[in-house]
Amino acid sequence: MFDFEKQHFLSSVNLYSIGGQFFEVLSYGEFSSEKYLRALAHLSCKSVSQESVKIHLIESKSTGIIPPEEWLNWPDIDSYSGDLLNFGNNRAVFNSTEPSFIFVDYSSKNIYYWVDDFCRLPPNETAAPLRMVFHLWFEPTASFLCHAAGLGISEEGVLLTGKSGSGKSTSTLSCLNTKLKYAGDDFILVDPEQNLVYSLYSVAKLNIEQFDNFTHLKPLISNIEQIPREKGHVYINESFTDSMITQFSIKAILLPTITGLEDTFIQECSKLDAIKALVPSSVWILRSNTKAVEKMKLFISKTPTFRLMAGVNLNQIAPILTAFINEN
Amino acid sequence: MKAYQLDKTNIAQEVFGNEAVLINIPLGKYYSVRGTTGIRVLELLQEPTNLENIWTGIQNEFQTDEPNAKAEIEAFVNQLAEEQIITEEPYTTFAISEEASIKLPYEKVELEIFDDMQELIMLDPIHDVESFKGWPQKKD
Repeated sequence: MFDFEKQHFLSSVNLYSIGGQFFEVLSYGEFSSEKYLRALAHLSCKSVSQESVKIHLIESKSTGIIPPEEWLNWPDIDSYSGDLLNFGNNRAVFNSTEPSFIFVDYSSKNIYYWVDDFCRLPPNETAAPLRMVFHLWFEPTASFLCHAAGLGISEEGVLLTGKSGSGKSTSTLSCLNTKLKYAGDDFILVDPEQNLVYSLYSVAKLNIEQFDNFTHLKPLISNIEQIPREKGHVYINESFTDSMITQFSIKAILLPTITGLEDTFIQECSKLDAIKALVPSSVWILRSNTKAVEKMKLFISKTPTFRLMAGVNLNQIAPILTAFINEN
Repeated sequence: MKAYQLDKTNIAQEVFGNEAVLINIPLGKYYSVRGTTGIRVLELLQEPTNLENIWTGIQNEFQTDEPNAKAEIEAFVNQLAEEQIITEEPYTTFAISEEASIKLPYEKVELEIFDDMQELIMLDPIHDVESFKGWPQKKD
């Protein structure tokens, strides 16, 4: 089924340590894997100490290798998730917009990710490479990807989550280059059994409206020519030395709320508010199911939940969060 | 009379205290139901039941002298059906709760709808199943 001339098309091999597992990413085709995988660079490693999961990235445009015809004409596809139904123990998932196709063979630990043209992937994919691949890989486990930012210090930290406009991104950006270290601003990996949060992506994203508040970040934006069509991307690991944290033990989930007041403070909030803030967007962006919701609910029910009442003085946010993490 | 049950395949729900949240996964909407009466209606809908039985159950457990109570429960159940939170089920015999000796105060029953995240579904439409057929840049 996959007897294409692998060595002929193989252009790079990269190793990563993600969520306590090793991933070997093999790229086939003429695309720049370095560019595509740039947001994962802080998780790269030189060797592996256990059997790795192999992710085969195949660009159809430059290799001519496409998913099996039988799958492309599969009779029964879930229109919500793109899953090929009645597929057996493994997963095969279509995305018609990019287009892309993911096949996960859980038993042999091989994942195949066909993309027609890696250069034409949308910005949300380049800022979060392999997001759906990781989601599908971790889905049968207790761990899950979720839509939240992560900030930590000395191996402990918090998740910041909320809808667009809630202040999540502004609060996270205000903590860059402080004592707090950055695990991600959009998607992170949670292992609720170990109570751990793992970093996935090193990119911080800025809306054009945030440029005034964070003028020092503007020269660091990697895609400035795409603004305002896209959000600005800043690779934190490249721009700030020793600023990333790859994993931490979670102390609390915080829901940023812009108050318009001068000072920032933290107050308790209900579990239900945390569910509303974290679960719907995580579920819909990743096309998850009710099982994923159950995992997130369980995680929220055992994790303290608070509101970060963010004031207009953004300089207060980092020291308040640092003190909160140290005290709790 | 039509019978209904909560669609457990597509709807995730959670109750904390006096509020329930329902997440309609395929529609990209979520909902809030506040108050013990509405939460009790949702509990009754965990098993197949009909409107008549729901109303009887609520009358047995709550002080339903509120003039709009019956219409409110009816509208609530209809709205749950419109939002595809509950699905029609074949008629069966239903168990009815017994009349409580001390009835709880009736609380307004309302479904609050949040559709502000539907764009997440619309932005990335895997829905177009027909376009799955074939691979556009197939190289001969």
